[in-house]
Amino acid sequence: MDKKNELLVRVYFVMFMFILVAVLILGRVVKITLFEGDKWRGKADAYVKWMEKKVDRGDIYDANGNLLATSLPFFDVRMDLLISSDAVFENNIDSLAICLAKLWPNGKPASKWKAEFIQGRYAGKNKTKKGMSYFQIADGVNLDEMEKLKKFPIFREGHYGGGLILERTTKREKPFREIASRTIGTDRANAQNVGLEDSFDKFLRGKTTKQLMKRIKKNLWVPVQNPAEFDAKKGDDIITTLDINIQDIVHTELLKAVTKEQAKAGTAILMEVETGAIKAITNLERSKSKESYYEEYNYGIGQMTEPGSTLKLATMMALMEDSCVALNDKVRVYGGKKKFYGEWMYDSEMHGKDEMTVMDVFKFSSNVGIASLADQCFNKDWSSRQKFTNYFRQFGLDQKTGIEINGEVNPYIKDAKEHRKSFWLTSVPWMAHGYEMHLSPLQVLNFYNTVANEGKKMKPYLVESILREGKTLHQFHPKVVDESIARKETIEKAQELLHSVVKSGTGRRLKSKEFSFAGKTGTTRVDYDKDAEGVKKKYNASFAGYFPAEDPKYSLIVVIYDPSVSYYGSSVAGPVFRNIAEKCNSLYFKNQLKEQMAEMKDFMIAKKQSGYGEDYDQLMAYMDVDYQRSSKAKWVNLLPSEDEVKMDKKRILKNKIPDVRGMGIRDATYVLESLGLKVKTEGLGKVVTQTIKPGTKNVGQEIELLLN
Amino acid sequence: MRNELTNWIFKNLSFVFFLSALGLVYIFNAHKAEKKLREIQVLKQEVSDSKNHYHKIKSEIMYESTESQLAKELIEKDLKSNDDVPVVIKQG
Repeated sequence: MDKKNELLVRVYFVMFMFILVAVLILGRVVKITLFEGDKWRGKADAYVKWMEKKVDRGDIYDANGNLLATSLPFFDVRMDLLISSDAVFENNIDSLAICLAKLWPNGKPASKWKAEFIQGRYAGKNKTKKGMSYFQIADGVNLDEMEKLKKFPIFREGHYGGGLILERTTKREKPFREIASRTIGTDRANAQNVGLEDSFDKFLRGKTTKQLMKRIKKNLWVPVQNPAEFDAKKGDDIITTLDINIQDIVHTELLKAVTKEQAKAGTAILMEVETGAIKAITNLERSKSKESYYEEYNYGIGQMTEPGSTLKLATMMALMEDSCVALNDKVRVYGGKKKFYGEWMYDSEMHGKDEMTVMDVFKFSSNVGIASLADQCFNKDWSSRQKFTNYFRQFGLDQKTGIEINGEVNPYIKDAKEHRKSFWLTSVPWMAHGYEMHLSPLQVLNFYNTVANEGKKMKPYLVESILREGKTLHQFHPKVVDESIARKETIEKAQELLHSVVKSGTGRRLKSKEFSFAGKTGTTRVDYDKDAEGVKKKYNASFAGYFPAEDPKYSLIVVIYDPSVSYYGSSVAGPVFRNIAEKCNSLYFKNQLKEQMAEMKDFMIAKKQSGYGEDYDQLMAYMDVDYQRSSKAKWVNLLPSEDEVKMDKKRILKNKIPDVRGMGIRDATYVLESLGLKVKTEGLGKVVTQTIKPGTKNVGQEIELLLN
Repeated sequence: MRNELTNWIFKNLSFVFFLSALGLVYIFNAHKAEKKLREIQVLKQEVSDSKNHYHKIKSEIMYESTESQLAKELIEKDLKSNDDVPVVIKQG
């Protein structure tokens, strides 16, 4: 019995111990989950957490695939001064300081770098105090500089040996810098985006999603659900209608002009007549220091001003649409000076003539002439005034163009009914030569483009397509706004008028011998309500038109704001127009020539060459060339002749050196190295000579290839 | 009873070994996969850096080869662009 009791006591003891342990564990569980829960969950978060997927912003391209805006990585460089060992630090600190001073010659000198490093590491002369583990080297370092930095003494020991800390950021870069930069726009973290970066932000930005990530190494996180799915999708790419070559021409010419004229600003927009695609848009504004010009504000789209003489075309078209006058009718111009309802009106050029034909009124841009004509036809009563403003509506001048850039506003054109309270007796004569209304340069251009396009009004557009991962997501097609804004005869007469301006009117000095264009000058007074003795009068000079005159391809407007040297549209904006038109025309010929040359290449006979069979199959299919292939071998010889292309098998034996002449560098190295040979190459292109004769026994020699 | 248990254990020992071997393979595999992921991450970074590098150099070349930049460079060498308008000799 005793033994049994003893046994029981032991059993109970063991059981008690078990229960005790169980209770302890349970207690611990309760404590951890209920009382310390937050703390531990917080710790767990350091290893697993929801993170926003970082997405690369999409790129912006021009119509020919040139990169207009992209994101490039930049680095903020810091140094942990405490991490490197004393030996490494002491031995290399001088050379590091010299290297840094060399990398940034305009920055700190080597002696200063060294002093700062030493001070930072030892926190003053006191070696017991802790120094800096986050010493600033530089911000916004680009890739090239970063690569160099990594190879500097101390830094090349890596993060744990040298203490180099690189923090990656991305910045938007425009490869063509100032060119079209306001229209391409900016993407900034702490300010409103502008331009296409703003209007297409939704696409460029890409989709950001959150995903559960776990930490597998310092600074290395992988998704929990599917560790292989690393890459967040890139934002969509935008293909614009801009052409960087034309854009370059427009930019250069406008810059020359605004600099010469000491103007406040200038803008030029070039549009394809048939489609409404904008090929170039430049906006230059003088910097505050008055030294240079920058793309600061989108004048072409956002600047509403009185268009002045360029809008006389609309008045002329209204007169013709109404059949009120014929081009040969005579009209009195009173020597270029006339009082309308108590207000004086002057012609900008004193011609001294008393009478002119209607055509000459337009050609020589007589304000008095066109105002008189409009006054006769459209200022009799309210219904005739209404007719006048209705024509402006019919021509679409009161509508926005609908360009993709945010911030375009409706043009202001007075309506005889809607604005009756501010519609004066003088309104018709003044509207007739482009005052008492506000339009942006693009809106005026769109009107000229419509005339060039036989009266068919197109919607101007800047974006051709949106690509998602290389595939077209959206394709934007030219859009017709109005099939015809006026009668056919009216359009024809309008074109005739525009030709005559350059042939023998205000634009006659711009004429170039081999090349024809059509357009209208504009010299617009601004701030005329502030007229006072001794105050210099301010003007905007403009020229709107299209080229070539007979078969219009492009329409173009040039506006120069407040030029100081001269102020006539014909002498300030006109030459810019002509230069751009001429250069674009040459460019057009050059491109045509290039195309012809490319066609010629088809006739040239290729030389004998060899390579990977499948590559040739693909190449031939891509070039749409018929060929005969006599074997299914991996490596082939290509034997072109005058009228056919043949391919036959290339023999490659394991124990013999093959003939790699005629092969590309990649194919040749692949073939030789897979046979165990060592390859050295020189030059570029196809192999012309090899140092070991084909057919020699292969014993893993070294072979040198010379490429042409 | 005791004998039976020992027997059972011995009988299934090979299976137990198999299970632990499987466990080892599992752990090894998981580690290997993680290592690969790390490599992929590093390579991806390298690829994107190289791509960016390419973009940077290419865009510099593009900028330098615009007509206006070329004209600027060449003016020092006394070369000027031909401003004559091309003449169409024959309309094809």
